[in-house]
Amino acid sequence: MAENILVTRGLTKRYGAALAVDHADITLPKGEIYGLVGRNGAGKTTIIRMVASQTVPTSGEVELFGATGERDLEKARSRTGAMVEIPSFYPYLTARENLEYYRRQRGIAGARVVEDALEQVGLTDTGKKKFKTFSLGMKQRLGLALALMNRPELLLLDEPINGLDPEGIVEFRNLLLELNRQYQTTILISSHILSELQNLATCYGFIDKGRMLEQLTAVQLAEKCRDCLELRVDDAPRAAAMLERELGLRDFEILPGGAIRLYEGLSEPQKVTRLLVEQGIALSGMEHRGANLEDYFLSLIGGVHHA
Amino acid sequence: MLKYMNAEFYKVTHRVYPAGFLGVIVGGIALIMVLLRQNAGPGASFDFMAGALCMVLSVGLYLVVITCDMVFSDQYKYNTLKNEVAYGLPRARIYLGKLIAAAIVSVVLCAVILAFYLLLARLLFPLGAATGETMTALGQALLVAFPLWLGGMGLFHMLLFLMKGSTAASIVYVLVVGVLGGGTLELFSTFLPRLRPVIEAIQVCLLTTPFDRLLSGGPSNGLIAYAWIVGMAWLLGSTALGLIVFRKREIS
Repeated sequence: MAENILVTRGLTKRYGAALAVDHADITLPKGEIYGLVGRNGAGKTTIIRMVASQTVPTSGEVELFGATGERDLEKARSRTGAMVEIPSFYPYLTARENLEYYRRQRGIAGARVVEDALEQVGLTDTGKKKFKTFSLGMKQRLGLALALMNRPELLLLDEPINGLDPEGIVEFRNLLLELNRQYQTTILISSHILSELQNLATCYGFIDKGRMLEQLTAVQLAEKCRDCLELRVDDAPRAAAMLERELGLRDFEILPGGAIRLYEGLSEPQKVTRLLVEQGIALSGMEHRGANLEDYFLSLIGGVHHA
Repeated sequence: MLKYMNAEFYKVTHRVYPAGFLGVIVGGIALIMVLLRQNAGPGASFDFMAGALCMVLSVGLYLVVITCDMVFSDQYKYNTLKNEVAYGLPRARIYLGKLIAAAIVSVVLCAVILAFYLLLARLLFPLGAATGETMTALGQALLVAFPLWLGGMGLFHMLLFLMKGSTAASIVYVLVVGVLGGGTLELFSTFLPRLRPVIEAIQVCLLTTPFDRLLSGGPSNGLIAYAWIVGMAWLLGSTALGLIVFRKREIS
């Protein structure tokens, strides 16, 4: 069984009467890239902030690298790198000075790590430029450099590609994939840009109004989002047998409620309908289905919302 | 803790703030002393200048606002504390690390300012008849002032961690230290004579009271002990309260 890097159990955060996160259970196995998907205010950032100790949970538990107690969690957090919301640094220091400050504070050996981190995010040429003059994209890169400086085993990234230009987004994606491949870095990432998340994540957690709706792997999601022909018939088992025997179609599933999802023969739906009619099977509906992460998320929360 | 403090010193020494602060203070001292020298009567001496220093040591209670702010560096304004807690640095280490770093920075700056003052006074004014006694009195006065400065530092540090901005923290600090100690309680006791015993008890605990006694009676061993009790009580009390509240504080 894969080692779990992060587990949350019944994680809850209440601000007065408002419930920001409601009993969130997350399991993040080692080496996975976990995409946290949800609308604005769904509770994504609050979950990451609780994991990163920036806010104290009202109830529930965070387990990091198997550690749960406050002291053990503090130690475990030194194996993580976090970038939560807009990166924050001292405005009067340069990129190098800011990283050097945190390197000393964290007791990371070797001044070279600062240069390496800056190199990784493409910020080596900022010279004496102070942080306060950085663009949002540069700030994001520096935030990532800080998160990477200690070679973390777990990266917590909240909306990390905000402010990056298209080239920066591609570089960022490649860097995360490289870290994940080369060092088995586990990543928890939230993003509004679902198409980008789909390029990265190996598993997903869908959250709405503070509640975790579903967790699934990228394979499961692909399965659910696969192109198919959904047929609603009066006798699904007989219809399925007919399709297999007469048309040789084997890649299908029978859904509860009398529907069949057909994953092959999509280019010739008329053959399917003709066969069913000929065999006296009542066909009440036929729909070509296929979805991406965004469609799936929208269908999950039950309507079109801004995601 | 040492690594944490090392980082704080790195940050402070890479700011213009300490050098600027030192420049303003040292420049001000030089200007005042040159003006005094030009207008000084025959009685003006190094002893007089060193003795005058004992009279203004309470200013240190307000200078700690600047030295603490140098180290704390508007953490809430810049949201930089999140980088520290997210890495798992214990909150007690963050709180105490900054407090100790601020104390060390304050002591270094104070030593530089005092040394500059005394050196310039020695260069510009002749030695008096009782230099030895004056220096002993100055040493004793510093022993009275030091714990009170630390007490003020503990209080202001707590306010910095507990309040949203350093301006608000500074205002509350000045209200507590300056206004309470500046005769407001006297005024209350005039209008509410029945509360006089309570007000007197509060006055005994104020950081400014030992300074008042230093001005009126000069330094003594008794005053030094009293100052240490008051100063340490403020330092330990405010630090304990600050630690308790900061432990659960939201870091945005």
